[in-house]
Amino acid sequence: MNSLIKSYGKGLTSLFIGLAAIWIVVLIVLPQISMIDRAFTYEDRGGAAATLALEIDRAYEDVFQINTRLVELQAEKEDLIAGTSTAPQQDSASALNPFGTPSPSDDTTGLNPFGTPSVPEANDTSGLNPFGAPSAGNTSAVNRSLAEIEAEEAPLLAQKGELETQIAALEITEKSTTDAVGLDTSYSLKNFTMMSSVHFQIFLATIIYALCVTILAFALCYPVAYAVAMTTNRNKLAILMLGLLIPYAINELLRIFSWIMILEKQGVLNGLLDLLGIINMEAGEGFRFVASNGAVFTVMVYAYVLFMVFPIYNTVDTLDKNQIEAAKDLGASTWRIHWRVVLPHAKPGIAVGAIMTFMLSAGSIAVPSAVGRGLHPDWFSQVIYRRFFEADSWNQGAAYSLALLVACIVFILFNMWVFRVGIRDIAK
Amino acid sequence: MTTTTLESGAMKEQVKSPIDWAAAILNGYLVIFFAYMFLPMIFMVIAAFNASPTPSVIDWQGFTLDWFRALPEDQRFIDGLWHSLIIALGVIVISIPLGLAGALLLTRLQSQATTFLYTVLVSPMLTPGIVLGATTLIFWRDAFGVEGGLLTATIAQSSFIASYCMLMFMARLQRQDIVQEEAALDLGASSFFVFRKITLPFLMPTILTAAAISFLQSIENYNTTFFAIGPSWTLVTEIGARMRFGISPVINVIGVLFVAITIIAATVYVMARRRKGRG
Amino acid sequence: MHGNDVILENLSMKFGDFVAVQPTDLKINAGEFFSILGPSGCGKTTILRMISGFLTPSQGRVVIGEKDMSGIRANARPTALIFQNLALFPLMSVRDNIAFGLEARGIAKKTRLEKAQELLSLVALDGQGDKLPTALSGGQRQRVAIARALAVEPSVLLLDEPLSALDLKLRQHMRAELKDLQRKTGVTFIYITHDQGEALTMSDRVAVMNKGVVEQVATSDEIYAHPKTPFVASFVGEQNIFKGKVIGKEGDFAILETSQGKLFGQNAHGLNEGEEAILFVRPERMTLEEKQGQQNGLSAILERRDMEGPFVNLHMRAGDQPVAIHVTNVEQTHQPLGADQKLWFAAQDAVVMRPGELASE
Ligand SMILES: Nc1ncnc2c1ncn2[C@@H]1O[C@H](COP(=O)(O)OP(=O)(O)OP(=O)(O)O)[C@@H](O)[C@H]1O
Ligand SMILES: [Mg+2]
Repeated sequence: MNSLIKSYGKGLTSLFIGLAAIWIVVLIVLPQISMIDRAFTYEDRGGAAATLALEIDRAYEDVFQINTRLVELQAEKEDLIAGTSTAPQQDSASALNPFGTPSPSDDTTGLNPFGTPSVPEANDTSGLNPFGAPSAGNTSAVNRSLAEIEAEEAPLLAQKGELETQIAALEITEKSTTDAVGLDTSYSLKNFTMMSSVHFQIFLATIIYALCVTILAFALCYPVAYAVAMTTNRNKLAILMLGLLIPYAINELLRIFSWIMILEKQGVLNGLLDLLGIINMEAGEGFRFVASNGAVFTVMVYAYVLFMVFPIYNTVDTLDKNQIEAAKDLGASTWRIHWRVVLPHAKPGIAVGAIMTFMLSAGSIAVPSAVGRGLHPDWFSQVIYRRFFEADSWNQGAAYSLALLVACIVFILFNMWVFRVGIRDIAK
Repeated sequence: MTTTTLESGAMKEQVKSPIDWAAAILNGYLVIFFAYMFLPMIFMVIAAFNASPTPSVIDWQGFTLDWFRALPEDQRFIDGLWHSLIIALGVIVISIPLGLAGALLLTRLQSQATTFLYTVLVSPMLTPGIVLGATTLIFWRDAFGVEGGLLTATIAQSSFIASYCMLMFMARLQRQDIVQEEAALDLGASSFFVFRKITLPFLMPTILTAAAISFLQSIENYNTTFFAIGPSWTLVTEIGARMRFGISPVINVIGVLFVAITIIAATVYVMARRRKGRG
Repeated sequence: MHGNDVILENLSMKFGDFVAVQPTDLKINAGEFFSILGPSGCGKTTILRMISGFLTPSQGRVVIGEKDMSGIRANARPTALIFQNLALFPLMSVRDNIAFGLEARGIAKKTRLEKAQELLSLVALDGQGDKLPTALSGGQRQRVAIARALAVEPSVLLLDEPLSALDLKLRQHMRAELKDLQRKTGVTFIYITHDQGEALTMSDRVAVMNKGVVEQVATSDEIYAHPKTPFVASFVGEQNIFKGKVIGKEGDFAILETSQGKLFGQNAHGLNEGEEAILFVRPERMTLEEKQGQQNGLSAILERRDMEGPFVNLHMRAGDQPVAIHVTNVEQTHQPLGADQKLWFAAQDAVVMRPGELASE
């Protein structure tokens, strides 16, 4: 404290302390406390109110499901209108599907990070329902006529309208009951323990997926970071740096968006398969890569790998190149040079990169909502969003956010322990 | 000495270097990696000029600039851009003083508490964006009844952008020669005078960089803003919304503009750095 | 451990259009302490890197122990390199550093630790095995680097200015140690330096390089006493230089007409009358009093006197020509500055050569 006053004088010192205090208290600590407070506050809406709330939740989820299915049907309809062929479609081709769309089991367990063996595409719809609500269109027939589709659509639309009026009514009743009785709030762990098993599974799946994305991103970017760091040619280095900086600087959402044009049914990837003669797009064949595990992985790694490249590059770049030559001279294989010399040196960078990538992918909302589009088993961030803004259950939302935050903190501590780095090495 | 080997060797003038497989594989990998990075963006740019109403590369329905004309007429995007700019300015105004205060305290404070203080001040950087957005939203509603909107978005963004600013200022301050300040104090200047005449000018370039980076971070931010902004929207959250409910080539047009600006800015930056490195 | 001979055949290196090493033939004997001496940028490191296998020569080849090294990578050559900055692995203990080469060869942990212990004793670092390299002093780090290189039992040890990072005292001490180690192990040492003191004191033979060309290869004594080119003459040790024209020959001697009058010197390069020439004479070969057989005499003014302890350097000026002379402390004189002084030297102590490039100061 004395050293502060000595350098800045009393007036400035108190100004700085005041600003920092505002930052810490108003921007960091109090919001966290509010979240924790809400997370541990259970809103007991009373017997009737609780059932009501639950019903409203369910209704919202059903509407969401129906909407998803409607979008599907719409797509199918458009396909039909575009290419009228009804030749046997996916069954033969889907065996080749490299992306492995999620199987029904995926949706309920949500734990399989690597995409189970693919199933014929049309069947996917049966397994799409993450909430276990009645599935809208569970047809095994692969190709259907326009009439059939419309036949399915009509009752869905009706059902949807019904649900929406139901929700409106329920919400009015809910408001009146809570207004009359008041919310019975109390501190408890219930917001966590009441987490439905589906939500808990989604949480676990998200963490495991994020870990996989992190590992994959590391594997992909380490050679790149190493190659760039070892480049001595100034021109080549400038070009490589540009090649990394440009995608890094372009907005995350736009980069994710750019993948839709590749993964869509009318996308580049199917076009490529068509060219190779594997499928026939004229005949309306094609995979919906969007919403598959593979797609989410590919895009997630794409979106966040650069947050791994730069920290690793920065550390490898400071490695004395003579050390690599010395190791080589002493007879070490390439593998051993990396394992014993380069990787140990890059540890702090790897820790930073892993933490950033994990945090970004575990908390990602753009990738699952853009590429997952309702088909993929939810990402936990989407569940949090719905708790807040669709189910209007802020306390549960807070509890879920806290769970996500704790997962990230655990991951950070784990990294600090594994890589033996301090907080100052991480945040630089 | 075996003269035989020497003689046969002397005939061989040019020594063929063995093919460096490791380097060849690494270079090949680099090509694949950069294709992975750039191809999607190239497709995005191409689709912006496709007349097809759903963004597509292979379903080519003719070249058009219609989508470029459609963008300025799209009021939500224009409003979103304004919102983004307002938030970004707010973020700069909040983050720079906070980051500066934090950095000045941390570099001069000699106590056990600094590591703890440091951890608290950088923690927002290590917190998932949606959690930052959610906590800010909760706090401001519960404490002051402020609903989500531009204000909460500004505050939520500032909480972590200030940490970035602080780290930049700390890096700069670590290179400062304290002797300068001491000499000035020794000559009878007041601490305020010294701060204004020596420390602040020393930090000025970093303040400008930090402002630029804060601006970019704010404009680009999605996760935090998405949660904190409530019913309002920014350019980026609007893009996000369109991506979920009906994509259109107008997004590609925004993409083209972002890509163009980024390429120009990055090239200028790299060129400037190279020139500086040479001089 | 035993040394191997190293033969460079027509070895040269080009970087683009720039020739870093001109075609060179050189034979380094097994078990020899061989130095390559030359000013900065003359291509010493380049030669070393071609021997070690990090650089592929543009032309010619390297033969070690009768085996052609073309196409053999650095990690498979019987050489070990000591880097200018040592390049110790900072995150490994001293012991692990030393054992690294053995680890890379898949040798069992027990064996390699024993071997590391042996080497630690050899370089007198017995108790230091568990420290990190950063915890050692400069000289100790130096010895770790040598032990690490010796662990893989190379037959040729390549050292790239390994002492340049040390201070003067330590450097002089390490010279003796290096020489000693070389004798103990019998390994061929190829030692690179731009410090002639190091090269002359340690080496069995020295190669003097300039601008990618090896100008002379000989023992230290030979290089010092009988330099072959003006560059070698002026780079190794100090010289007084007189320019002039040959006006006559007398047996093995040439007579030069210079600005200081007629001077006699050994005509080792067989110059003829009328040729431009340079005459070199070492400062310690000049005397203040005339001795028997000294044909050359010139008068000069004393400008500065540097007392160096055991000897004294006198800086004089003969006309417009600076002349330095070293006298021992025993025979020193106390002339006042500005005093006129006569200087003498014998014809066999002076060498006459055709003009050529001189080493810059
Ligand atoms: N990879 C390279 N590309 C281009 N030029 C090079 C390269 N390596 C060395 N050179 C050039 O070759 C010349 C010789 O370099 P080298 O490193 O062999 O000198 P050196 O004698 O070891 O000098 P020093 O005593 O300063 O270490 C220098 O002019 C250097 O600039
Ligand atoms: Mg060198």
